[in-house]
Order: sequence, then C-alpha cells, then structure tokens
Amino acid sequence: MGAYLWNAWSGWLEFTDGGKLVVLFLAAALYLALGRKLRGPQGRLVFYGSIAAVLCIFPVTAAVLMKYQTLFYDYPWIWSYVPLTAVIALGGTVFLTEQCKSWQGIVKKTILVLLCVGLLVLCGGLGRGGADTEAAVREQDQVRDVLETVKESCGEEFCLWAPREILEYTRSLDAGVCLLYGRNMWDAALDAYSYDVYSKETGELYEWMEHLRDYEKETSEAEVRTHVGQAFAMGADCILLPKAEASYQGDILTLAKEGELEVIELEGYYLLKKG
Amino acid sequence: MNVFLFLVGMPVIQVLLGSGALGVLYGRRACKMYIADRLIVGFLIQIGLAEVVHLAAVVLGRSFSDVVFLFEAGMVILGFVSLGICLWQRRESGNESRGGRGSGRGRRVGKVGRAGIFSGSDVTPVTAGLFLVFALLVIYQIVTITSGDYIYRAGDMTAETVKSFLETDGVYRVNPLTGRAYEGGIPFRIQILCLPTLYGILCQIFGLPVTELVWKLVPLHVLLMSYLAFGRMAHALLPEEKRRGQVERLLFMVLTAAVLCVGDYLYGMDGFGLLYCGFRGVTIRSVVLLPYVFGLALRHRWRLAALCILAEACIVWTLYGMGACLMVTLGMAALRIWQKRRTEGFDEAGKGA
Repeated sequence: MGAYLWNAWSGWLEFTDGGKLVVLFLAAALYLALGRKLRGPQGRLVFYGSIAAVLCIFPVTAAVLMKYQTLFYDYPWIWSYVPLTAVIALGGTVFLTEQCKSWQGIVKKTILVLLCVGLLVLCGGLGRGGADTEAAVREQDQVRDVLETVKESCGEEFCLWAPREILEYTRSLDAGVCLLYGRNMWDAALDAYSYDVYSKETGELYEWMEHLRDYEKETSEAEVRTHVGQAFAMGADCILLPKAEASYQGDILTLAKEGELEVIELEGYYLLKKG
Repeated sequence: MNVFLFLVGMPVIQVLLGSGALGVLYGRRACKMYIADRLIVGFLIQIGLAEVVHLAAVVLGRSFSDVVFLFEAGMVILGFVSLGICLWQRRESGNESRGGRGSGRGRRVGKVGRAGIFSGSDVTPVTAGLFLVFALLVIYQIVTITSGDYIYRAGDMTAETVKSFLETDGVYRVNPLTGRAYEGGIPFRIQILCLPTLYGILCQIFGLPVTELVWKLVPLHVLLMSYLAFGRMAHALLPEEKRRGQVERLLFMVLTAAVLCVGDYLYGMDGFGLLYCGFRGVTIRSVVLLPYVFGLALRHRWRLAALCILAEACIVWTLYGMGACLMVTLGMAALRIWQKRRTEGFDEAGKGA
C-alpha cells in the first residue's frame, strides 16, 4: 500500500512539474463555480471535473484510481477522468465573454485577450517535452540506409545483432529482420507486452555492444572472439559493430584473416558474417 | 493518391456506418444527429468490427489475409445495411412532412449535414477572426503531426506489431520486438486489443506503408475525431438558443485548440497524446472517447455512451471493460440524478411556501 501511495504522490509531483495546466484547470473551475449559480450542463461538467480532480490529487484516492485503471498505465493517465481541456476552455470562454462585455474599447479588449493568451502559454509547456527530436528522424533514415546495405550481403531475411541505435528502428522499418534482442532491452515499459525474458548471456551481449564506443574501455581480441561467437551461436546471422574509434579494429581483421569471419566495411560500422 | 483515398474514404465510410448505427439505436430520432455524431459513431463501429475479426484471428488462429477479408466483407454488409436504414428513414421523414404531421421533424432533417460546431447564423468579423485563429492552430497541429519529426515511441510497439502481422500473415505469431517466436507467451490483456489489427487492415486496404499510416495518418484522423468530439461538447455546454451561442462555441473551440497546443509538455496530457502519439489506444480514449462521452452525458445520450465504453474495452486495457468511459458515464449520470432531485426539492419547497 505504501508503494501505491508513494507512486501516486510522486506521480502528482511529476505531473505538475513540467507545466501548470492543472492550476489553470483549478482556477477555471473556481471561477466558474464561484459567483454564479451553475446549473445545467455547465454546472454538471464543472462539478464532476472538480470532484474528479480532487480524487486525482489526494494520494489515497489517486492510488485507488490507479488500481482501477490497472497498474499497466502510469499516474498521468488517471487525469483522463478529469475534463481538463474542456473545463479550461469553458472557463476561458465564460471569462472572456463576460469581461469583454464590461471592458469597453478595442484596445482594452485586445489587452485582455493577450493577457489570457500569455497566461495560457505560461501554464503550458514551452517546448516539446519528451517527444523524439528531429535527430531521431535522421537516425531513422540512417538505419534505413544501413539496413539496405546489410540486406545486400545477408539477404532479405536474417537475424541481426547491432548497436541500440540500429535496433531501435529496425523492426518498425523492416519486419523481415529478426533481432537477438528488441527495444525492451532498454525500454522496460515494453516488457509488459510479453512474458518473454532475456537470458543473462543476452544481457551481457547488450552491455558489451553498448560499451564498444567507450573511449576508456579496451577491447581484447579474446573478448571480440567470445562475444561474436556467442552471438552467432545464439542465432545471429549478421553482426554490426560500431566503427568509430574502434580499439578492436585489428582484432576483427585478424579474425577475418583467419577465415573465421567475413568482414565488410560500411559507413560507421563493420558488418560481420560467418566465414 | 492512397493517402488522399484514406483521408477521404475513412470519413465517408464512417458517416455511412454511423448513420446506420444511429438509426438502429435511435430510430427516426437519429435524423436529429449531426455529421459529427455520425463520424464518431462510425469510427466506433469500425473499432467494434476490427475487434470481432481480431478475436477471430486470435481464437481461431486465422491468417491475417482472412482477417482483412472478413473486415472488408463486414464493412460491405454493414455499409449496405446502413444505406438501407438511411433511405428508409429519409422516406419516412419525407412521408411525415408531406402528411403535415411532422413539420417539426422536417425541420430537424434539415439540420443533417452540419458539422455541429459552426452551425448557426451569419458570419461577423468576430466569428471570422476566431475561425482564422482556430484554423491556424489546427494547421500548426497538422504540420506537427504530418512532419513525423516528433513521434513518441517509448513504451509502445504499435508499428512493430502491425509490421509483424503483415509480414507473418498472422496475429501475434512472433514477438514483434524481435521477430522470433514467443518463448513465454503474451498476456491475454494485450492479445484482445484490436488497434494493431485495425491499422494492419487499413494498411492493406489503402495500400499504405505501416509507418506512414500509424505515425502520421491515424493521428491526423484522430485529430479530426477529437475536434468533432469537442465540438459536440461545445454544443451541449453552450446551447444554440442562447444569444451569442455561435461566438461562444467558436471561442470554446479556439481555447480547446490552444490548450491542446500548449498542453504537450508531459506524456499523459491530451495535447501530448494528440500531437506525438495519436495512434495509441490511450490517446484515442483521452481525446476522442472521453470528450465525446462527456458531451453525450450532457445531452443524455446514454446508449451512445455505452458504445464508447465498449470501444474503450477494445483499444485500452481496462479492468474487465470497466474503463474510464464507464466511470465518467456513471459519474455524470449520478450528478444528473442529484441535480434533478435538488431542482425538484426546490420546486416543492417553493410550492409549500
């Protein structure tokens, strides 16, 4: 129960951290409720919205609502029960309509509207919180190009082991390519979509692959041999290793000379196939 | 061309399906409903049909090609049934107005065809200005969605799931994230949700790439549905009889659009969902189903609210169908009863005095 309450409380803190639309909602509800006898549809919406908001704010009731909406979804989603957008819009509509009647003159009315717009912008987010950036789109295009090149060597259907930035978009761009592990390796929320769990070895392969770009970490030939061999044993047909500042470049070329691997140099990556 | 077909075809199909469903639910009273209602109800019917064929695939193990065929067949049948219902209603309404019994009904029929948001009187500088601001805000949202630069994919695998359905010609035959066979299986709660199947079917029907449809076109469609739902709510909150009703409704829509634009700072906010992940079930619930349910509850259209509750159970994991729409419907119904009793109490007290 303590964990539920903590989740509800920390969820509320996070929810009000980025922007203040909740505050604007409460102000709008208060404005609509006070000083006028709210009846009919408007009254019902505001009354319902206020009760729902109070239930979402108090940790105990919020925890109950979170349990009701199933723990599959996070705290912010319980605010779906609150007509946040509608009440703010209604409050703004009533406020502007009433004030414009009492404020005479176009200048005063313009100032009033600008003040409202300013308030709205200040209460909202002033940036794109959390969404992928344009860099992600460029990354996606890069993955598309790399996959095309890999396909030329590995055929249409193959199992791939590659760095995270490649695997991130591979399955959404080409479902013919299998992966040693998917996005749920680094995005834990995706684990809820299946009961599959990765083995310890798979986790180690991920860790090793992501550390290959680490300047301070030296990679030995034995390490490369072990991990690459393990990946092939686990079903990988093709492996992409990052090229940049690769301390293991010599090791790969040695393995290629010994005939264990077929190595193809791509832009930014080494493509490894069984020899 | 295919994009155009999707953008035009979807609303047309939905209006047809929605008209039929409203005819079944409300009989001749359905003539009073606006196009917005028809579109949204048509969308709900599509979700319902997708759920049926999706369950057929999951339970009976049918291939995805069969699922597409079943969905198309279902759409054609429902389309013809809807067309029949619409024609019958039109004839009945015509007969009544000619017979002089239902002149009022005849006037109501005249309302059909309006979008429900901007219906009403003349265009003034104020309404034109408000409409312009509203249009600019919507254009900003359309550009943001269609640019595809700001897609929020964390915790979501819709595109991968749809791709794997199409690739393997089956539903959940492989793990969408890896393309390999499931080892531990898939939770039942995920298995019954039909949105990936619906998107896959739409990709097949309109010949569109998965990422294009899921990340751009579906959110665009959801944007349209969302404004229709908020428009219906505006209608319920700011009735037409009231003077200046049109200006107020427009202002409400402008402010709604503005709140959605600035409210994009956190995952879970309506604006965020609409702009960055409009394809998710939870987003559809937040920006289409719930605003529509609020509007329906304010207009006492409880049967349609029941449709929304069912649609939510098909696209969002809920506690055995007891989702947010049910909670909102019950809450609003309870308030309605309480408000009614309170008014009656006041009236009786007035009479007693």
